[in-house]
Amino acid sequence: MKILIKNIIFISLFSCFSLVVNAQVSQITIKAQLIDEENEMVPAATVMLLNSKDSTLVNYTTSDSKGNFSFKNVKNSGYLLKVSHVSFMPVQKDIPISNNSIVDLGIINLEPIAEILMEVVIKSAQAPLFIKGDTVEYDARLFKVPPGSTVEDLLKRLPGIDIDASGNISTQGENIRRVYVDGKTFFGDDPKSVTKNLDAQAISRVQVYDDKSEQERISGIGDGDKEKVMNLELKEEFKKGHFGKATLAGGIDEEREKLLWAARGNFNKFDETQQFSVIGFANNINQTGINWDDYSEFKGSAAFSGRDNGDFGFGGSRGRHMYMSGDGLNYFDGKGFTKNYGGGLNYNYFTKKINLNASYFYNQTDLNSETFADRQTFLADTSYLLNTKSARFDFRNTHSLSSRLEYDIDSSNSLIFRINGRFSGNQTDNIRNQLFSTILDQKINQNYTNNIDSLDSKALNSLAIYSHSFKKKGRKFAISGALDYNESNKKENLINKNEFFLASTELEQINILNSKDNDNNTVKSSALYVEPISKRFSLMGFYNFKANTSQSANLSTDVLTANTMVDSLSIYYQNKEMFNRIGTSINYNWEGLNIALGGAYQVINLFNKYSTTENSPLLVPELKKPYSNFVPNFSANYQLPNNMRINLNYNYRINAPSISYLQPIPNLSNRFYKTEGNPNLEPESSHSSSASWSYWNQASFTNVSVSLSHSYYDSQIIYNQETKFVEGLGYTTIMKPENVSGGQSISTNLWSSMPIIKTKLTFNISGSYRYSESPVYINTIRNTTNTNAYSLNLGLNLTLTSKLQITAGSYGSLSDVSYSIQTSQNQNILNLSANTSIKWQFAKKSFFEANYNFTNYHNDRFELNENLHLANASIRQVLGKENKFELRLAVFDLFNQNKVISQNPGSNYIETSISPSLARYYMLSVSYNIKGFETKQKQGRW
Amino acid sequence: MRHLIFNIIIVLISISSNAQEFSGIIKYEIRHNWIKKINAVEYLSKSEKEKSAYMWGHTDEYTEDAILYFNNNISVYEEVDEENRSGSWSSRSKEYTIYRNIEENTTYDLIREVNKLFVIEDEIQNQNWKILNDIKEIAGHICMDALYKDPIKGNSIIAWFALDMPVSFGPDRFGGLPGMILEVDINQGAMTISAKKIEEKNVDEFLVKPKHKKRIKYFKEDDYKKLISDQIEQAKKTERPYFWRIRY
Repeated sequence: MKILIKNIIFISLFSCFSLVVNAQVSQITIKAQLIDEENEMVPAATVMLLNSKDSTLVNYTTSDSKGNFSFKNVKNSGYLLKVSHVSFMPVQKDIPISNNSIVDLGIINLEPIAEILMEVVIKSAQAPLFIKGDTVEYDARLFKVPPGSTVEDLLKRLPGIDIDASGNISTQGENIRRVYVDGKTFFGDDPKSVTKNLDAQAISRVQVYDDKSEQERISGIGDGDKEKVMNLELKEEFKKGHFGKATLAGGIDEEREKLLWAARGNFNKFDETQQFSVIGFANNINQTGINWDDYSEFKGSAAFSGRDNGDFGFGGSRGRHMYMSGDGLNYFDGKGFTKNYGGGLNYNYFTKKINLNASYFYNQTDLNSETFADRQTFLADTSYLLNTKSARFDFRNTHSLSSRLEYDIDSSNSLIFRINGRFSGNQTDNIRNQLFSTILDQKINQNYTNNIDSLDSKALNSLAIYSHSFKKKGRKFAISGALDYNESNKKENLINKNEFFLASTELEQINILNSKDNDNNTVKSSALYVEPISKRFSLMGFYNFKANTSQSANLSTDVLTANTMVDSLSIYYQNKEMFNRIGTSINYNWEGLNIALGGAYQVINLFNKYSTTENSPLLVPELKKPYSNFVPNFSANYQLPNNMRINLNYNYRINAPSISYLQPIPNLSNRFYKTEGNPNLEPESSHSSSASWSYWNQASFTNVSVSLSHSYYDSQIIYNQETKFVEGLGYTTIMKPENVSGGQSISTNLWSSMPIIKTKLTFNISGSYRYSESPVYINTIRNTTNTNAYSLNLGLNLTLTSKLQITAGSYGSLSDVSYSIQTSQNQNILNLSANTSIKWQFAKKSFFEANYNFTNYHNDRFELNENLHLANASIRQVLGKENKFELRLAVFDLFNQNKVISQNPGSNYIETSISPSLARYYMLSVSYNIKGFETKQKQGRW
Repeated sequence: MRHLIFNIIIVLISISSNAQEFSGIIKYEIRHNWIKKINAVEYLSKSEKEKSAYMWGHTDEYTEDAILYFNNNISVYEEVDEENRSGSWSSRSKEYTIYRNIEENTTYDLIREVNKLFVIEDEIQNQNWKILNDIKEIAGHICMDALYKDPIKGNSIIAWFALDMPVSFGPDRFGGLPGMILEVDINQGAMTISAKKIEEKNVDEFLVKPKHKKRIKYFKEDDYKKLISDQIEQAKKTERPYFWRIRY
């Protein structure tokens, strides 16, 4: 019973409550009239009805000619009404849930925007005026002050703010007593301590508002006691800072009982317009330079820059290219053991108009390597073997300096300057032992050579390019000039011993000192002009000029005959090459279709003088060779709508024979191979054409590209060979460059990558086929070496989780080489390899990385069947609260098999060589990163 | 000053009272800032953002052109790269035409996205704008700002609309404000679309649905949203910026 009564009471209470709710109207009409400060009605004001919770726009209207507006039958849910007009400050009114169906707001007064704000801030500075309730603020960045200015200087420029002689700030007649920085008091209460000390460049916004009194802040009730304050908002400095890393590592190579070590460090400091970086490395683990990632970070914004060589002509570069200067990068071929030191400095400065890069790099390498090579050379009726063992001790060091300045004078004129210098030294001790034998392994002769060289070289390259674009769209002019200077000095001590086995065993020894000096100067200039004919067609014309002069002197003395000069080996020559080319092309450029068809006429003049020493009479009359030719050029590329691109190219190339072909320096270092010059050479001429197609599907993440290229030589300069068996001496070869017609190559490439499971499993494939036909005359019989080379690369990339990634791949290449003069020597060279890698983050800051590569080298003729198993593994742990340290334990070449094997088929020979290299070693390293190491594995890109 | 405002008011009165045809062309400049774009992507690592700012900070911007034709009822927005059309190199212009018809409440947008060309034919679905409180001048017009958070791309978009251009159109796919949108700022300058020139004239000949081949896929607004959100999902998984594949 009690319960029932309770229920009744509850129900009746509930119904009463619902009645109250129902008494509220569901739809309302809101209206008002807008009046300005002079009691004029304000028409055409925008009136917006916003959701009171989040300011979302619900409805809007404009006031009529009498300043009236209304929103009819809108939901009764509580609004914020906002009135805005071109010349008035926006006004906001709260409209709570109403009990009446008509909400008449009566008259709303609008206040005009202060003229000074309108004129100066909005119109002249194009700066937005931020209105937050009673706060008005402007973007300080738009009011330019010179660098080094204080906040006071900035404030003097802001409209509506006055600063008197003693630095007191006032606005609208009121003094500003407080200045906050990012909302906080700065250096006590004196506003001048901020405005006179803080750098204006650090400020992004200036706000002026009425500060609430302490009491109002606590109670929330206004007591009318207000004071004007100013807040300075600081800029977010994401373009400013520094970063850097350092690594120290030590390890052992058990087999060679060698201690291994490596150190590396870099530091970069930057702000919005400058970048400064320094890098250094030292090791004995075959890292002769830094890797591309470190290099690009070292160069910073200058790592990618225009490929500006100033040689205008057909084609021309578009966009930005990766510009890698070799110095500093790790370009080691893996043969042998090295000790390396290097480092550099880089400075970049850039503004909208200026882009400057200056950099210096030093590196040195101590190399110690051995190579074992077997070569079989085919003659028309026979063949012979050559076994070479060589050892090389090499010390080289390089200083390189580079600088580049790009200056955009204005929107239509720009300048580029580039100066590079390179100074290097190289000391080499090269020991080589060559054993010639017949196909039946009968020794013919043996040659021992020891070359001790010391080489110093200097190179200086400079370039300037000026380009101008005219008012007429598409009309362009550019001119360039360049100066290159190269100088080298080489001292060479050559010891050569020959031993002959066929006749009575005989020994022969030579010891020569050579002193070689080379000087080379080039002056270049090019000009380009583009004239638009119509919207789609333009005409391009260019002119190239190049003058190259070089001098070379070699003074030989015989050590065995009391340093008497050897005339037959001493030589002094001077040559000059003048190159002039003028060309034109007509271009069609429209909607992704770009076609250029053109031609150029080129004239090359070669001059050559040749004597024993600089002051001795010419040995042969001065050689003058003029060559003149017309070269056509065609290129087309088409961009289809669905990310498909097609490229077609054809060009005819003419290259004048180099001086070393016309009159070579005699070389006695190997008396079994002699090279002669040929003053009657004609230029090399070839046709090359290429086609490529590429497709990228963003929806399925599929990439495919296919390319095909063909080149055919009308005339090719080839070293034809005369090999004779000289009784008592063995096989001697005389090589002479001659023009040979024919010879071609075709190559096709395919590359594709596609996901099997999106973001998880990706498959990639690349393959190539190359056919080449190379002619050579051997003992006046034309031999054609035909090579069919196939290669195929398959790979899988599996991202199991964000913490575990696995890749697997295989590679195979087959070269089928046939020789027309001795088909019995035809052979197949097969290389097969398989690889796999794993990256696994097995704990929060712990990583395991390993890779394994298996390669099989196979050649039937040489009975070569070599298997190489290479495996590396490492485990690393990121340490410290901010992840600033990393500890890494690694083993390289776990199976201790590393060496370099190469197989080269030549025009009439095949060579296989093996070089030992750094094999198994263990290494422990500690790294420090100023910014902290990543503790998240980088995800696979495809 | 007063005189000018008075004149504007007179013009506006005549526009609203006579319901006179209000039509013209707006030329916009689109400015992309790669560094700010990369910085705004939540799922990229801090070091990746810093590295890209370091490497590309000096050439972080590039601009494109766009045109909006409009009258009281219809707007057509196109991206035209005039600069790119003549000269020694030309790329294909973008297939991106946005058609809005307020009278019929329809869209007819021709878009190429992730290698597909399609038409979005649907009702107009404008952004859920929050009105802010700031004022600035753009191309001679006083504008007010509004904010929209794109739930799919996560972008924060500020639109500046002209108080004296009473049409609810705008560049790209933005609209639905009490005045013409003259500037759009996505993620604090990562990408801005800003009016450079406004010309009032009759442009009826341009106010037509974009032309295309007959056989084309028709999308609804929801299909388009799904396409975009799928792409963003995949980009998140591979931790690369989504805007290399799809529009910002």
